[in-house]
Amino acid sequence: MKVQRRDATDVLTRDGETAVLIEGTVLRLSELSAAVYSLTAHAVDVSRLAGELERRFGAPAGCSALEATEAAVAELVRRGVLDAVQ
Amino acid sequence: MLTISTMPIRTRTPSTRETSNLVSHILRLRALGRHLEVRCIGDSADVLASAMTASWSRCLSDGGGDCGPSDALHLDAHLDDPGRLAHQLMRTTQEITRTLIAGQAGRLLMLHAGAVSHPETGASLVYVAPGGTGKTTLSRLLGQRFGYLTDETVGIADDGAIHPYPKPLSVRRPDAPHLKDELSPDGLGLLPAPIAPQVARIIVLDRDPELGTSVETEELSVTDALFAVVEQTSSLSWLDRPLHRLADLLEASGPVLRVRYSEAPDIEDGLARLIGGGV
Repeated sequence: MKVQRRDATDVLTRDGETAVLIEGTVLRLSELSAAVYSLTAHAVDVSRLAGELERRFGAPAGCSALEATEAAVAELVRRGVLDAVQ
Repeated sequence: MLTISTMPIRTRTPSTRETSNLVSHILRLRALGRHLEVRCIGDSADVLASAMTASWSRCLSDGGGDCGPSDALHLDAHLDDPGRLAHQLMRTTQEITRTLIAGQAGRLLMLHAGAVSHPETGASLVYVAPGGTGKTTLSRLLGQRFGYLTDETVGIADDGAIHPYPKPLSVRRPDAPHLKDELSPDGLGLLPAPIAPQVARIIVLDRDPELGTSVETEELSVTDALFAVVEQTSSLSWLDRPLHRLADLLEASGPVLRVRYSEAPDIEDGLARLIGGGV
């Protein structure tokens, strides 16, 4: 599966925290979610995204990088930050 | 300042009421940085116009002669039954607010907040809060020693200048909570807005009637303040780089405080000190 971020009206990062305004809603992104957002300007395969996140943040505890990335991506899709694309 | 048209304008009624004439009165208002013409119509238009002239006294504009400015906003307020006056005044206030907000979308940063301003320095305190949680009560209290700017919507330009919206204070009736009386700030003895009010401090009100007389104050980080305030913005997405504009304002006037309290008199002096004590 590939994912791509939705266009944001604005993205703000202050003091290590990121807020994104998408379709009238402001969302707070964790550091990991902000990285996902920055890496998905174009459609990206989730497995490739997992590799890049593992390189930046290290291996997650208790699950594989792919599983952790799939969970993060699913949450961001649910919140309207990302779209799943073919 | 007062500009109800000197002569009522008689117009033919719509086809549904062929046999009578409607009398309309035009109120010209200047608020939130815009001109707005309110046409009072209906069988009791004169009653409505008279009541609005009193309650909207702080916003009446001379409007530049017989015709208002070409970019003036417009709305109609209709009253047939004088017994519905209070209801129509409340409804008209809400419609005026919506119209002004729509008219400034993309121009001003607009917060659902009350505000008062030091009468000499123009330093202004903006208190952000959802509806029904104390803005009007606090405005009524602080407005005795600071210039009253609004109890509803604070419009802020990109240089921090506030465009006052000194509307009538909307006070809920204890015996009919769905109905608010629209009270003139002049009638309540509130001080006028200074010439050039500027944002000095922003606080987030968190009213808890169970708190007793204690007051809890917490400094918010810029990000926490942004998330606390953003839900009380209007037409934010219309602005250029809206999150940056809001964050820059919060940073420049910070730290933003969250104030938990029960009754307005408990925080009056503390808030007054934030903008220099007042008169």
